[in-house]
Amino acid sequence: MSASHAPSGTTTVQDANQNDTLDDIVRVPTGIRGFDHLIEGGFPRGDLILVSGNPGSGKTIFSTEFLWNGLSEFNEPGIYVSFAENRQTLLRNLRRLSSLKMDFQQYERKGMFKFLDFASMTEKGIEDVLGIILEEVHRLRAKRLVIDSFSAIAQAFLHQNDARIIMHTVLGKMPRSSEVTTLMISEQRLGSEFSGSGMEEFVADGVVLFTQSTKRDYLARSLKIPKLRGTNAVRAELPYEIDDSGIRVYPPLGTLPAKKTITEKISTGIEGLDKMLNGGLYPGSIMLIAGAPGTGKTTAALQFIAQGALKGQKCLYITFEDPADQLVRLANSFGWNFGDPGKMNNVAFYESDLEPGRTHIPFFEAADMVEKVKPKRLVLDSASMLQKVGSRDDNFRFIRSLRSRIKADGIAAVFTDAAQSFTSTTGSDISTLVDVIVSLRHIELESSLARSIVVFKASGTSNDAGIRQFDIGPSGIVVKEKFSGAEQILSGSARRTSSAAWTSAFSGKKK
Amino acid sequence: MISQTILMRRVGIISVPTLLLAITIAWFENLDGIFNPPFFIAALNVSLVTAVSVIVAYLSAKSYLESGLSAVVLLGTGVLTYGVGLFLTGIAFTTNLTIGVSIAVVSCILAGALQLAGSSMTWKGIERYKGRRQLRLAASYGGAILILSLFLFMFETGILAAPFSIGDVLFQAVFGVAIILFATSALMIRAAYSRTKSPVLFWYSLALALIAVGIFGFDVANDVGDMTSWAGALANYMGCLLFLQSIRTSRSLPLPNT
Repeated sequence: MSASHAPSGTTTVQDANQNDTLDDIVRVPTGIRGFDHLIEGGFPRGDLILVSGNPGSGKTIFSTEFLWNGLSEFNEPGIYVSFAENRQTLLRNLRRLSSLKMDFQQYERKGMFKFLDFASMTEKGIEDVLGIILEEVHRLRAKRLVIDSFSAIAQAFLHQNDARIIMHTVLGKMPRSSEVTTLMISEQRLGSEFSGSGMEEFVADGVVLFTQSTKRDYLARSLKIPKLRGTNAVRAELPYEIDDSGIRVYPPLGTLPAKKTITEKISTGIEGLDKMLNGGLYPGSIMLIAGAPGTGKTTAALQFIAQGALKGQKCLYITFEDPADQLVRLANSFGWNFGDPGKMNNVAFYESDLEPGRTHIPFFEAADMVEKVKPKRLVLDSASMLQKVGSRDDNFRFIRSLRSRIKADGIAAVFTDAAQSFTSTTGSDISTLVDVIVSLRHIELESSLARSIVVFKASGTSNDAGIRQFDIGPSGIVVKEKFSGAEQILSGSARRTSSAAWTSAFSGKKK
Repeated sequence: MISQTILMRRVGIISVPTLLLAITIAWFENLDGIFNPPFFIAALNVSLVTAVSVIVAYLSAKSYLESGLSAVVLLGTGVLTYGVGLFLTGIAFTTNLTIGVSIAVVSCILAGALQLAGSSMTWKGIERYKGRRQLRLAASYGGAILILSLFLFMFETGILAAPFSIGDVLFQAVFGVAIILFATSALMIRAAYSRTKSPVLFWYSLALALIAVGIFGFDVANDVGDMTSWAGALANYMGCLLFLQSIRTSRSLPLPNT
């Protein structure tokens, strides 16, 4: 600890500690998945952090993980002070975190952990209790302390002001002087803006607020960090989940700066479409393939991936619709064997069923997968499924984040999009975020269903504006010649132009 | 219950013998009365014949430029010649009946020959495609208008005497040839329709047949504006309307599956 000199020439421990905080903040990582980088790596050492939230929101799990990770990963002794539930009840509740295998007893035996049970406490005994806590902190040289909960302490006081004094004078200074980082749990009533007595937030150095709300019939959890002194914490309200590995916070999906534009195009895998796009697709661009069900969007996307796989490029297929094995089976039917060793084994799939209100999980995992695989070709199948399930803002953030990754890493991407009707172009509102829009449509030709392809948008490149017929053959999509002498193709019911009909009639041939 | 399409076709088919019968009755009965107010025939010809011929010629030109099919440019030129010829006829009638009749005969014989050439290609299914389409089209359409204008100029200035008068043998003989040309063309197109079942050809063949009937009415008329010539004019105007019907059906034909 470095001490600074006051103008009078005297140095106090408190001054020294304050200067430490200002000049060189030591961070205490929580070890909780997705949380630490929201707060620059951890809580400032010696801070009192208020962990506030609704009942059942995961405050105890968060705090216990903080202690457990301190013991198991950072070799930091810790104390759990309980004013609410006894040791057995707590340990029993922690069993649900089966993957963590929290065995606090082994650290108790090593003298690194202490569980202090003050479940029955009165106002008269509060000073003794605080004395015991301080004594144990010093004895264990504890670096982490959890007090569960301030709400229970406050209930022991007849006057709220007394609780405030205790909180301010004892809990507010004690952690700093002994460099113990303290999480103090506080109950927040459902719908309330403040914790328990409403004063804890002002005394604490930081506040982590856990909330639960109903989102599309699902109880959604989110946390925010409205206050954390000396830290530029992420301001957004972030979703989190509790599973058998504890809490996982889903951080905001970031964006990356775009890199230098690549001018060499790559093939879409569909020869005719490459011609329509004047050579193919630029790396770092997104092609939206839109069309009604059955028009061949997934086939086109698989063909795009197969082309990359054949060239030895890493490819990633993110599917929110068809399961990966079904896609592999479909690819196999066209002769694209993604499992072939040495040929097409560089194709990775990420599949997930999107659940209403819980899209943050697949979004995060998909973004994580992109980062890990570092693909040259990427497919998102489909953007319209996001529209159906996710919130508009969440979808936009995900697509924007994915887009920035695509631009930054020079990934050639295909997004599929199911049109809302037989004749509409797109089903989602991401058309402004993509570089190329290709529309696949069903058209009626002589009482039969045929397919047409047209490039609606091709930013930064010239393209063939013609409407062409295409077939899905044994080798995938084959684009044919432009419709000639035809009109109203995009209406779904193509017909001949008068001049074409005139020519056809007077040629004398039966057509 | 018959559909509207079938009903229309039946009316179209019946109109040919009906108007032929009407002309024949008017001819044999030798009904009196002349109705030929100034510019009236010219106005009708412009609105019902020339305008329609321009539309047919435009569509044929578009078709030819896209496809290069020789038959359509011949047929288009034929219809345009007929329309422009009757327009000039209407103008000439205001000053000199003989000149008007002569222009009508020249345009009918020229239009009939072009229709026969185009129809025979359609009938035989000859798909002759030629290059330099714009030039050929300009020469064809421009040439037809130029020839008729030259004739009018020569007749009006007296460089060439107007050779045809209503009722004389030469007039009837040449008009008779024109009738044969149009009627043969109609039969050829009808034969092509039997093979292709194209509704465009169905209406086009009826239009040609009605024009042949109309020319017959002019051929046997005693004077411009008599009952026989008006019966012929009615067949003529109806033929032009069937050209429009032919175009209308071409706008609703489905695209074939390739």
